[in-house]
Amino acid sequence: MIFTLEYWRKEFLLHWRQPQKLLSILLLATLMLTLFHFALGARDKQEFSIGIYWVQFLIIGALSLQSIMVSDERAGMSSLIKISKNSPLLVYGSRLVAILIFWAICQGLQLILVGILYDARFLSELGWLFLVVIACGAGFLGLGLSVATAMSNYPFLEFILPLVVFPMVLPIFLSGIQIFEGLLYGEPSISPWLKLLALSDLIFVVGGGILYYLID
Amino acid sequence: MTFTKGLGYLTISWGIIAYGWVFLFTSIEVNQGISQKIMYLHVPVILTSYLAILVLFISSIGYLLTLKSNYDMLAVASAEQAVLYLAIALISGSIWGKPTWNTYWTWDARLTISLITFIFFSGYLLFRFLGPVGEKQSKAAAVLAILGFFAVPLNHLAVNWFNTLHQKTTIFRSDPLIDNELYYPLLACMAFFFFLFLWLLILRVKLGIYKKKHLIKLFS
Repeated sequence: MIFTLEYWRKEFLLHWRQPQKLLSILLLATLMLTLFHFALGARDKQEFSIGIYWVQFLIIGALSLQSIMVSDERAGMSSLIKISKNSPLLVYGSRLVAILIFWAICQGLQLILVGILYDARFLSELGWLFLVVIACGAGFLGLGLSVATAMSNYPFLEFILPLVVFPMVLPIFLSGIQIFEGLLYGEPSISPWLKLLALSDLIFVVGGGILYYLID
Repeated sequence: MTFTKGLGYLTISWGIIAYGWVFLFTSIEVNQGISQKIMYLHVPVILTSYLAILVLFISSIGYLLTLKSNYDMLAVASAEQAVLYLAIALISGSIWGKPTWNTYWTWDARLTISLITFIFFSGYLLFRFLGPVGEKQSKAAAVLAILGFFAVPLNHLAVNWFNTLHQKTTIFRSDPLIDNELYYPLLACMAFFFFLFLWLLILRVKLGIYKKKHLIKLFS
């Protein structure tokens, strides 16, 4: 258990020791928001704020997963898992938590950015929106982490990974978008979407764990 | 004559009979005109793609339980056909959509699900073909296929909560909402595609086994 916590800490520091990673993600997000501003012109920007945020969610997700793949490839992660005395499931859990924390920081800052630049309602509901984003990130990153590790030595990996992961986790995206709508506009009712999100999270976190175990 | 050859002859002759029936002996539908004939391609291919996904799911479970390579080959062969039939269904549906819905594409629930399923299984095939060959990769692919199979109803649920343009179930119900004159040739076309799926599946698995033997000989 102590070793697992140590593993989790190392994994988190691995991300945190590269502040340029977080900085580049935030700069890219700001650039995208600027481009959306030009594309939307004089139209009401609040109307598009949810869509804009989720496009960013997707792109940042793809970039984060790609960065995991690149670091896995460099570190020879598959071989490391093989020689590690820990169960692959514990390694998976620790890595998932570490990546989720990094992800939460990125997404929290982006929510604030969208709130400031596009839609002030994001700031008033920030806490709830943040929780939804974390819930969406768990399932998405759970599956994505395992697929990324399985594909760490693939050619064209940056293209294939989204092709494999995104269509599967679509219910997560749809639930997230609908819950955002529900929280910001009062419609639709969020309870069925919360259930769908919980079910999807369960399937993809557990499925991701099984996949990670089998890669070993 | 081997079983595969016999099945091949049966498939081809059944196809000629079924589509001959559709084009020579079935009346032209009053509202949609000649474009309704696309139904005899569109409906059978989408159903055959579901069958292919089911075979992929079962063979992936079979592979994880036994680690026998034949199951793995069966999974690849059925995934290839699933992608092929989904592509045909999307294209034929789009062509059919123009005269009936006045648009080639709309973000209707079923269309969106079919597109997502097509993208996922295309990604699955890329995962299979671009990466290294081995037990680890086959295991990972099997888990992905099983997860993908479970993702289909989840996607269906999520997307169906939006409004849909697509008609509700027409054929698979106790009282099919389709005239017998159109219904029976449709069943014949479905049977043709099921035979075609089986025939191509057997041929593809045989090819896989042959290739594997050949490679082992080459490197031994």
